[in-house]
Amino acid sequence: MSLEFEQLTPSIAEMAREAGRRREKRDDELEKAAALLHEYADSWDLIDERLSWAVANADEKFYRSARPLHHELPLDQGIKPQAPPAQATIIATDGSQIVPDRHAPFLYYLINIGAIIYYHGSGRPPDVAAFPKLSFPGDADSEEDDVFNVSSNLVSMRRDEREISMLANLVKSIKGQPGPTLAILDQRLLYWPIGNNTGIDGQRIVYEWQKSMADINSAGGWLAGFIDRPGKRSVLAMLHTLDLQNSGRKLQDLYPFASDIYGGLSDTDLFDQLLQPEERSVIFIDISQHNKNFTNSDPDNEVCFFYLKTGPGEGQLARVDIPMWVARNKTALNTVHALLVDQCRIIGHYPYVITRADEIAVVGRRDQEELENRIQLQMNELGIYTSITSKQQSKEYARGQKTRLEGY
Amino acid sequence: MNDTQSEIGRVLRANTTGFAVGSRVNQLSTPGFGSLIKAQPVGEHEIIYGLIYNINIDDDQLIRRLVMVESPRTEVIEDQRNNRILPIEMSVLAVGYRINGNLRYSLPPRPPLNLDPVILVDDPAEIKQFTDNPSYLRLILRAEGSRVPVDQLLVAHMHDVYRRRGEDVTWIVSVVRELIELLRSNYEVLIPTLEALNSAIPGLNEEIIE
Repeated sequence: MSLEFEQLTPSIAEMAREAGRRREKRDDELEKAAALLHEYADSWDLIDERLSWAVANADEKFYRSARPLHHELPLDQGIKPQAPPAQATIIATDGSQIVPDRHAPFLYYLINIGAIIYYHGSGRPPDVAAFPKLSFPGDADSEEDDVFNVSSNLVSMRRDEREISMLANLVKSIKGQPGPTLAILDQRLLYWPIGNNTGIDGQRIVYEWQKSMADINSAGGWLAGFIDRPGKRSVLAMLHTLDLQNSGRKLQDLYPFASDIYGGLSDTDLFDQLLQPEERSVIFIDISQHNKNFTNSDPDNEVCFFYLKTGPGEGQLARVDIPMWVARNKTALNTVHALLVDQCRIIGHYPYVITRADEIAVVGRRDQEELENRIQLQMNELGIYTSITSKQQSKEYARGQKTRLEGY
Repeated sequence: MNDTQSEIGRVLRANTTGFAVGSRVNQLSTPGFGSLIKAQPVGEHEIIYGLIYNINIDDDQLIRRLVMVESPRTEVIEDQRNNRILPIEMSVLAVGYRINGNLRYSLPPRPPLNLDPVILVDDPAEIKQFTDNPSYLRLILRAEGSRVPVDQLLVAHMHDVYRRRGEDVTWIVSVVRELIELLRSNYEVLIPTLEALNSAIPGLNEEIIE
């Protein structure tokens, strides 16, 4: 049965009206935020004083903000890229997964990591590889069977862990290549488990994540997390913190669950209008409980970030997370900026290496069917015959491809 | 016969009159339009011969984006050509087969199967053996009216074989005479074919007249 669109018509109309109202409000808020950024652009003493006060008085579980790393360039200044180095090695990894399905004939999950090593300036083809791993109840690496029955979140977390550990292994394997080595992920560096997975599994994965960051640092690599059109509001929170005395707001108003003082804005909106194509913002340090945890584990792992305008269009903006060991090294910082801009020029607005790593990693529906077919054949050879659950079978009947009379 | 050096791809789909071959970019350097190739199922007694009459290079969204970029990087071009799995598709017209060692110049009893390896026939002895008898030209001519560019295919194939047979004038003259006989009532194909052949092989007209 198809969706009853008539029933949804009033909601669709209201949705469009509300989007218009929010856009108006957003434009007002954006104007105010830009004014605050210009007002406090180089008020270094005031910035230090008020942010220190906020960190000391806020509930660290909820207060998230940003602090400029240097007191050199004004906060509202865009920074143009330098020329990239003649040669460099750029490594990217990305992952995809098939999550366990208890309605399927066989219980398993699969994590596939795609990787590319791109030899910038060499003229030679990149090295590409895929690293698939099949996990099933009772396999050698399976610590427990819970993952097969719990949720897809845990599999996603394990994929994240494999993405960065594979990246670290590849950085360590690079020997004798000219120029610097830059390792790129297509996600935030300040990793924190999604959902409610903050138990032992979550803690272990955060620990492994931090260890992989340290491994990349020890191997002499530089690391960046590239997040396309992010929703982060840390700089906005910083600006509201600086302006608390004038606005009459309380610190608690800045907590994520409090009333929406941002008017639907994110840092993306602010820097999207501020930066010219290929320019980056100044460097900010993330203020959050998570980053404190990262810093405590290894001061070099403290996560900083900058915004990068990847193209001329509206919303063509990325956040680039970098660890402190890159942020405080000006050569590294300028090179990361230059190489990312260079990568974005290849296909426009997005790094080529991430596009390719994703392409290598992705497990399509046909791959999944082929994999399950092979599992089925192996099982049958051993005389093991199972079937999908009745629930799944009935769904497949109902959702199966329909034929339509097209005429003769 | 050194087959392992000359695999140019594998069968994608097939029927009795021909087949399509999927190839990687790095397999494209040797075969060309008009080349004699063969589908050779491993361990089977049948070999199906054919001529490449079309080479199709596909694209996808990433390629279309890269085309828009001014001066794509060498690394990116090499990545697309060496690492990405975009098959090059060659269309092949069947012109004969070998069964239990015996050559037949007619359509094969069975088409090759998906993923059968396809090999460029570049062994001089095998080329000579297959092309000594020009009967297979009939199968090319019977494709007139289909998507096969018959006159151009004839020219490309005959020139390729002439070269691979060590500029064998005796062979090319006999094949042209056979062609004239087969096409005596079809000047629309014969004339442009002869003109193009003479242009590709200077002095051919004089050899035929002698």
